[in-house]
Amino acid sequence: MKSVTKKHLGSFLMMLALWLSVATPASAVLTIQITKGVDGAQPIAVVPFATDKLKTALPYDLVSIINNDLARSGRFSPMPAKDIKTIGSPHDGGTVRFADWRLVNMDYLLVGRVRQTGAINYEVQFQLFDVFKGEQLTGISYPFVASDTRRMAHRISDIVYQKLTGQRGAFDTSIAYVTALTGLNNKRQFRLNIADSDGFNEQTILESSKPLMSPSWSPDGQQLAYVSFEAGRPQIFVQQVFSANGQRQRVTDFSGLNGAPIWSPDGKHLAMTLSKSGNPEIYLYELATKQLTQLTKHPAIDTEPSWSPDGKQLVFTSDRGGKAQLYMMRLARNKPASRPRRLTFEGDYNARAAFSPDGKLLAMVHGNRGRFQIAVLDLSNNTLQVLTDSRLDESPSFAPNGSMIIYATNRNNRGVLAAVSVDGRVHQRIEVQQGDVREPAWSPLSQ
Amino acid sequence: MLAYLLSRHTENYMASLIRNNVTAVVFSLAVHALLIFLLVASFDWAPKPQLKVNNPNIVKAVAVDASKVKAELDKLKRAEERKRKKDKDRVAKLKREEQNLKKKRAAEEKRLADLKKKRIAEQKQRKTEQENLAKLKKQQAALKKKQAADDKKRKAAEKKRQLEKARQAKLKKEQDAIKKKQALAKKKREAEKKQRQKELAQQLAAEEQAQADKLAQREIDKYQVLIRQKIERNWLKPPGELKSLISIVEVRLIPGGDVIDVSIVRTSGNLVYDRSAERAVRKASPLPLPQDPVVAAKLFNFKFEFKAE
Amino acid sequence: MNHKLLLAAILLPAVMLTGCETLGGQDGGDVVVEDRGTQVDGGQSADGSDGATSSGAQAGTAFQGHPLDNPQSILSSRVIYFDFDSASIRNEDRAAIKAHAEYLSQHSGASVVLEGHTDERGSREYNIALGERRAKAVRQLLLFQGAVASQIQTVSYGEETPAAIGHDEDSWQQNRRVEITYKTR
Repeated sequence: MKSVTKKHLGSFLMMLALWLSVATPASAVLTIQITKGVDGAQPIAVVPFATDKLKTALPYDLVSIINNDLARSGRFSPMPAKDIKTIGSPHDGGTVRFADWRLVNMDYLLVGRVRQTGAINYEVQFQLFDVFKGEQLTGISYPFVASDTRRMAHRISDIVYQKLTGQRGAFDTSIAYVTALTGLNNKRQFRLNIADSDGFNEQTILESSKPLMSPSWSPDGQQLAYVSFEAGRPQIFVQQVFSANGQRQRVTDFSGLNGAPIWSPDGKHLAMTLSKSGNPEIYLYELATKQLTQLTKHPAIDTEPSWSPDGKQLVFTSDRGGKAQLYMMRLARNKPASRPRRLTFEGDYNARAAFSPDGKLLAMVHGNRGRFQIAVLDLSNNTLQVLTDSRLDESPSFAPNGSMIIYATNRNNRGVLAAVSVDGRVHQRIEVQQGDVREPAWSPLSQ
Repeated sequence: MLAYLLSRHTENYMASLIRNNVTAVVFSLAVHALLIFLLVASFDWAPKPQLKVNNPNIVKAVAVDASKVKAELDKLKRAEERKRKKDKDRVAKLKREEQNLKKKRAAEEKRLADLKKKRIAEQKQRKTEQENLAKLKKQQAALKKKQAADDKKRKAAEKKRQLEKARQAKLKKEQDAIKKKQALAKKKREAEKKQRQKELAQQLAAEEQAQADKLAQREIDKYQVLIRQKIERNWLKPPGELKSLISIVEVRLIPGGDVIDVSIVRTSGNLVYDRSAERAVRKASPLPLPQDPVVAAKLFNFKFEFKAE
Repeated sequence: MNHKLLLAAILLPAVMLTGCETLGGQDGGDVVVEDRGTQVDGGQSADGSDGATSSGAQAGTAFQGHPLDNPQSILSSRVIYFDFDSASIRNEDRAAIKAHAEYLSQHSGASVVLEGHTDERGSREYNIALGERRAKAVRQLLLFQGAVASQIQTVSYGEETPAAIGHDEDSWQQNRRVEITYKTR
C-alpha cells in the first residue's frame, strides 16, 4: 500500500509542478523596469477662488498664500497665476475639464470659492483633484473670520500637503526668533519675535537693549522660555506668547551661566545649563516645584541639552573629549542619568543638537575645516549627512512635521533664516524683515 | 461387368432408398410387428362373453317372518338386480371392447393391405427403376467414356490453355509488377519532390518568420527603451529614502499607445510612492508604439516595475 | 496686534531701565578725563597747541591722574585676546593681568567685572560657556597674583556683543576677548 501511495504522490507532485509552471501567465507578461525618475516638485495648479460675490473683500488672497506655502515646502511647483488664466477658471468639480490641465502637465488641481456669511464671517469651500486620474481627492468647507484669513489659507495648505504627501503639513505654525538691530549711535536693540511660518505677522513679544537668546517653545505652543541679559547677566525667563498681558516669569537667576533652556516633551521640566557649581553643567528644573536636579558632573563644558520626543534621552554638547561634540544620556525616574555616550565622531566640532519630531534624526551644527554647516545624524545607522553648503550656519530647528530644518545663516553680511529639507534636496530662503535674525525655533503643530 | 454395376447400382439404390426413408421403414416395421402381435393376441384368446347365471341361494324353508322374508326377498332381488346390472355392464363393456378390437383389427388389416400394396408397388417401381437405372448406367457409361475422352482432350487443351494463361498471367504479372514498381518509384519520386518542396517552403517560411520575429523583437526592444525613457521623464519621485521600494503597475494600451488602464498589481507599501508610479504612467500616455500593428499588439499589455535606485 | 504694542510699550521702558545700568560706567573721573583730552593721542608731543600741553606731556613727568586712567600705564590694557576655541592666556597678556592683580590687591575697594566674548563661529550657548571659561581663566590668574575673589565678577556674552562685525579672521580675533571693566576703583 505504501509504495502505491508513494508512486501516486510522486506523479501528483510532478503534475502539480507542471501545472504551476504553466498556470502563471503573469510571469510571462513583459515587465519594463523603471529605475530613474525626476527629483522635483510636483506641479499643481491652484485656481484663484471665486470671491467676486463678497460684500467685503478678504484682507488677504487665500490662493497666493497657499501657492507660497506649497512652493516653500519645496515639494510643489505651483502654476503661475497668469498661466492658469489661459487654461480656465473652474471653481468647483462641475466645471473642471481635466484634459485641459493634463495638456499643461499639471498633476493636481485645487479650486474653490468663498462666500460671506456675516459682517466678518466667511466660508471657504475647496476641492482638490488628481488631474491624470480625473478624480477628486478631497472636498471640504470651512467657516472662518476675516482676521483669520492667513491662518485659513495655511490650514488649506496643510490639508493639500497631507493629502498629496501623506505627511502632516506645518504651514499653520509659528516661528520664534531673535532679531538684533543696530540703531543710532551704534545702539543695539534685541527683540524676541514670533511670526507665521511664512514670515508674516511678525510680532515682538520682548524688547531689550541687552542680548536675548535661546527661545524654546513649550509643547502646547503657548509659552516661550528664553535667556535674557537684561540684568547684566543671563537669566532664564518663561513667557506666555499669545495671552493679552504676556505674562512673564523669571525662572532662574543663579550665579554664572543660566542658559539653553529647553522644555521637556511633557511640559513639566526645563533642561538647562547652569555653571553655579563652577563649570557649565546640565540641570533639570521642575517648573511646578522649582526643584533642581544636576544631570552632568564633569569639569568640561556641558551645555545645549535637547530632549528626545519620548522624553527619555537628552543629547547635549560637551568638550569633555577636547573639542565640542555631542553626547547622549538616558534619563530615568528616581535614578541618576546614565553615563553620557559620545555620538559624533566626524568633523572637528559638533554642537547644538536638535531632535527630529520622530526621534530618529539629530540636526546639529557641524564644524569641519573652518566651515560650520548644518548636518543631520541618522541615529539608526550613525550616518551623518551635511545638508548645507555655506560657512556660518547655526541654530537648527526641525519643523514639527519633520520635513524641514530651519536655521540661521549669514548672507550679504546679514544674519538671515533659511530652511533645508531633511534629505538636503530643497533649499529655501526666508524673507527677513530687518536687522540680523538668528536663533529660529519652530513652534509645535497647532493643537 | 454391367450386371455387377447394375446390382451395385440397385443395391445402392436400395440402400439409398432405405437411407432416405429410414424412419418410415423403421416405423413400418414396428407397426408390422405390433399388428402381428395384436393379431395373434386377438385370436380367440379373449374369452367370449357368456352369460353367467349366478347360482341362486337355495332357500331352505324356514319359518320366517313374512316381512323378514319380504326383506330377504327384496334383498335378494336387489342383489340380483345388482348382479344383473353388473353383468349387463360387463357384457356391454366386453361387447364394446370386442367391437373396438374388431375395428382396430380391421383398420390394421387395411393398413397392412395398404402397406402390402405399397410394397408391391414399390417393388414394381424399384424394378422399373432398376431397369432404368441399368439403362441409364449404360448410357452413362458410354457418355462417361465419351466424356472421359472428351475430358481428356479438353483437359489437355485446357491444360495447354491454362499453361498459356498462366504464362500470360505471369507475364502480365511481371509487367504489372514492373509497372507498379515504376509507378511506385514515380510516386516516391514525386512524393520526395513534394516533400522537398514543402520543406524548402517551410524553411523559407521559417526563415522569413524568424527574420520577421527578429525585426519585430528589435522593434519591441527599441520601443521598450522609448517607453521606458518616456516614463522616466514623467516620473516625479517622492522625496525621502526610496531604496527597497518596488511598485509594479500593469497597463493596457490601445492602438495609438493611449493607456486605457493602469493598476497597481504590487504595492511598495508606500502609498505616495505607488501613486507617483501610477501618475507617471498616466502622464506619459500615449506611449510610443511600433508602426506595424502586429508588432505593436505585442505591447498592448505589460507591466512596469518601479524600483528607484 | 494692539495688545502686542501695548505690551511692548509697557515693557520697553521697564527693560530700558533695567538695561540702563551699564557695567562700564565711570564715576568721579570725568573732569580729569576732559583735562587730558589732548593726551588721548597717547603720549606724543602735541603739535601746535598751547604751551601747557607741551610742557606737561613729556615723558619722565609723573602722570597726575588716576593710575587706571593713565593711558601709558599697563593698566590701560583692558582687553585680553584669545586663540580660536581656546581659553589659554597668551604670554604677552600676562604682564597686564599681573598689573591688574597688583592694583586690586593694593586697592581692596576696587572691583572688576570680567566680560568673556567669543567670535561668531560655532553655536551660541557653547560660546557663552567658552566666554565664561575665558573670563574665569583671567580671574584665576588675577586671584593667583593677589586679587581677592570678592573683587572679581565674571559674565559671558559669548558671541552676542561683538567688537567687530566683519566675517573674517581679523574681526574674529578682535571678538575673542575678555574685557576688564572696573566697577569700583
